[in-house]
Amino acid sequence: MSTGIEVKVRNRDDSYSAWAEQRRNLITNPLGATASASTGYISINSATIAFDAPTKGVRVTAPAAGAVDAGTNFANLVTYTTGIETYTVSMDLIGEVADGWRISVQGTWVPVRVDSAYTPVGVGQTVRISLTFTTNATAKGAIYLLRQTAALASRVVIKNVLFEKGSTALPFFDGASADYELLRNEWTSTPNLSPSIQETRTFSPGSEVLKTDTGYTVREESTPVDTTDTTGAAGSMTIELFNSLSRAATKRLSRKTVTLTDRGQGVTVGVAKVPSGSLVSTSLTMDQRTVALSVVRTAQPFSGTLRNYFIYLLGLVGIVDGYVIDPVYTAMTGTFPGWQDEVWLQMKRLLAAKGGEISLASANIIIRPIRGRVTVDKRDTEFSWSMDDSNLAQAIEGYWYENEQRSAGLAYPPGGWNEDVQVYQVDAGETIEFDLPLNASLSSVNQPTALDYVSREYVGPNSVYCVVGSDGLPVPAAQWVDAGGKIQVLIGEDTRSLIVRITGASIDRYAPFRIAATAGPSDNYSSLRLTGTGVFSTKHGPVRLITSADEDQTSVEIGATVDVDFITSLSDLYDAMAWTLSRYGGPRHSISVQTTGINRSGDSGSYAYPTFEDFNEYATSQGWTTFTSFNTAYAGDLFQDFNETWAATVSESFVNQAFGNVAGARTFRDGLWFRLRTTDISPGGLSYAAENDSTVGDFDTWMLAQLAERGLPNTMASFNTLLAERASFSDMSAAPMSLEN
Amino acid sequence: MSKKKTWFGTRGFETWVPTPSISPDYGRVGWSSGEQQFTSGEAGLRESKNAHNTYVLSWGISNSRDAIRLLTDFAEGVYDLRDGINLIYWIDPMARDKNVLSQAMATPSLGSEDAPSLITDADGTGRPKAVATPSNAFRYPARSAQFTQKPTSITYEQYIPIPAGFSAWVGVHGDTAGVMQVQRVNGYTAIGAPVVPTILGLEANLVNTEFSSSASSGIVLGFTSTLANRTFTLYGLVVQILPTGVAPVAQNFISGQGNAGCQFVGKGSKTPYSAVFDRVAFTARLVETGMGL
Repeated sequence: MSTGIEVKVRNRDDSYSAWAEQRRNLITNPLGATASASTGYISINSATIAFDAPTKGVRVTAPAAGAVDAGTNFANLVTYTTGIETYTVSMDLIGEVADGWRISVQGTWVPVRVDSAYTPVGVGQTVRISLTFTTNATAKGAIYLLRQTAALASRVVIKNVLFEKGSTALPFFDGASADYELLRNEWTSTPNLSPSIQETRTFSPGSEVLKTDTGYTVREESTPVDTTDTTGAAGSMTIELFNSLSRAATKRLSRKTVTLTDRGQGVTVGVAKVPSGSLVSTSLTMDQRTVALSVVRTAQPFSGTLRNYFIYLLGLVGIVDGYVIDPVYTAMTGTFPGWQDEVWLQMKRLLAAKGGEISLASANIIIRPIRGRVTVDKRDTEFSWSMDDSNLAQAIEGYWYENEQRSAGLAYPPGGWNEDVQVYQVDAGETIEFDLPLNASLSSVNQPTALDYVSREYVGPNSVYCVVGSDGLPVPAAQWVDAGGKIQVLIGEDTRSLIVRITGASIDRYAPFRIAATAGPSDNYSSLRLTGTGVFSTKHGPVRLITSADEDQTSVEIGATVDVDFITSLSDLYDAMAWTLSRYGGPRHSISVQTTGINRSGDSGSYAYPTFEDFNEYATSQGWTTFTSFNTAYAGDLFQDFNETWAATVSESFVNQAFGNVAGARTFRDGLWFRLRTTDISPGGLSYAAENDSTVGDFDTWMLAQLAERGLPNTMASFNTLLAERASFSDMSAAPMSLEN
Repeated sequence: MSKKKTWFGTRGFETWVPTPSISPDYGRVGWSSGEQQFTSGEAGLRESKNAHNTYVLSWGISNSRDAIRLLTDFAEGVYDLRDGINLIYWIDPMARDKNVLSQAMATPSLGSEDAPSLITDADGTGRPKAVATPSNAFRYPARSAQFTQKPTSITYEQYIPIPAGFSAWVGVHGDTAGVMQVQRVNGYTAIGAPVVPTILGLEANLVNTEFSSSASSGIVLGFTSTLANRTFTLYGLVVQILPTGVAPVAQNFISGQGNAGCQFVGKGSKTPYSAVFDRVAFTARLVETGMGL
């Protein structure tokens, strides 16, 4: 038995079989919903035939005191193939003058005349009559609708005429009948002038649901807040499956997309790794969808909003939908160099630098600010804590980057020419190749042009160079080029270097050549100037922050260096270094907790978060199709209001989304705020490990509350009074928001 | 039927077997996280609402070898019509005249949470929406199941054996006619065209359509197909097994007391007492797996 746990494996795309004909209505003007004429219905024995527009049928009026067998012959409408075959004809009759009516098949195509019994049709009644008969192997004869009573001015409207093979009168259809997902109706040619076919197809889902009863474990790690912290892996999960599949089918689960749904914990999506099994069950280990980011890619330099940068980075690994980026990142901008690295690693650095985190919730990749959620501890079943001072250091260092987007900026020499810039030399006809590291990240580079002379001060806009021969004299550019001399430049894979290829001119008497300009017999300087478009960086630092640990406590002088491209101001650097400092300046506090749930309400033990599907459904109902309309609807509201509104809509519903929302949440214990870093979620609850995450802001909030509670003024004297028992700041940092001794 | 006989067997091969001894052990077992003791002093528990039946049945010393062999043959697959799992169906005398459907079938709204849904999308996902049952005086389930059935939906059906001389009375309670049907079967072979029971509302008449045991081993209660998406609500389903000729009684709604088909856990345990006096005892454990497969 499960508790609403479903494991869905996507094997392939959903598919349909080809349409296959199931039925054929051989009447070419069947008088269905789109009929427009009485074509093909022939008067018999002085009956009047007329099309009736309101009913889209054919009115047959037999004369009073006329022949009994007055009516219509519609054999011309039957598309008939000679042969022995059983057919059934049926039609609706709408009575206008009460009488009996019958169908009669006569002529060469039946051995003897075949008549149905007379069927009475009252005024206003709709009656369907039918006749089944078997043909000779001869040509078509006549098929009549005939009235019963000669004395009456019998009148009826014919509708929905069906003539098909078989001995059963089936429901009417023609080419205009309604189509459905697995059934469609078509005319074989001109509508209402050709037979109709009814076709069906079958649906093959690309996914299947596997049986699970022994549960699962989903491990999720929050991304770090310290830019030097490399922990925080993409989530993984292990699912125990009941053996409802063959072993061969189970082995084929590898690399398939798997969706895990637990009505108590939410939805998450992973990619199956390698399954293993026993006689009884199968164990399936998966990586969560975010693992797609754990690949090496080259990112181009970027300048724009952080939202667009996140979209770009997700796109690098093929994630083009199923993500949600918090609106706060729409207003934040940045200019960053390109790089070649693991996308997940760079994403973590970027998020740590910008106070964000990434997770997977409701199958969506979520990028949002940190510290958005707070846990409760009322369902704890186990708790332990520890302090670790093995990472103490006397100081940490950091750098920040002043990044600027430039077009045709001077990439080489970095910062412009100086006396230390190397002069490259090449022999006649020789090709040399070397890398030039840059202080820029280029998306394009201008190929250098040979000039007769390049000044020391030249900074662009073109890439240029000039050449000096072995005699110390300039080599004219035209002569150099004519003799095959050239320089080609490529952007390195990391976008932060140039690959330079120099081919010397085939003029032996002036070789070797130097890529230089001459200002005198012994005064040569490098003439190579390379320009391009991209992000140009100026590195500032190091900035050193001293920790509270002295050399008696640790011999480590520099514990960590904050050096991240995404830190683009001194202010950002100090913010980032504060987190690093807290991890190297004193013992690291951590806790481990087992609980059945950390949510604030409900009984399922998990967060109740609305899904975007919920919102989309509501937004569609409200006609909100653009962000403008959304903004109008929520004008004046904080995002928090929006969140709370939507949380309220689902607090009682199925969507309890623990997956993706637990890791990164905060919990307050023993005078410290902790942030959940590693969580293991299972059907019965979760366990987590959390690290100290207390901020100065947290302390301010707490301290102001303490002062207000005691009626003390907001002064340092009050501060000292409250914390008089603390011998040192070190004591205080052990449990800053606790007055407990 | 003798009061000492129970209708029991694999599909199409059901027969009268000796009724188990008194005081069998009937269990309802669901998933449970186990009782969690919080550091706050409180406690927590997570469990499935749905459950399956387990039966520990014993046949005492008064039974003959031939009578017990009927049971052991079923346990050992002698009367399996198909490869793989062949469920054991038996009409529990305790449920027979109440509602022989499994609880998850009889109360479709349970499928909105953890019980198997009677209708899923083609990929096996999708559940009904639980909606409040309109006010009534007959104690129908508090919530009903609002299904959206698509042309590609997978629908669940439940086989109910009909003992010889008995009739199955079916009642489909909902807001839309024509959504469920009953197919008479002999084993797995359909007999005749499906019958669509007249829909019943929230009323004391729990059942309204009778199917006798004539020429069939039982009935299959399932859903009619649809060409277009359709939405309907089911309040509850009832099937009662009554002696043919006995009319059903109007009463309050009765939830599912039966099972969806069982499997023997192991092959049972036989105690041969006396060959001379032809006396054998037998004990077996059955677990309901019919809706879990």
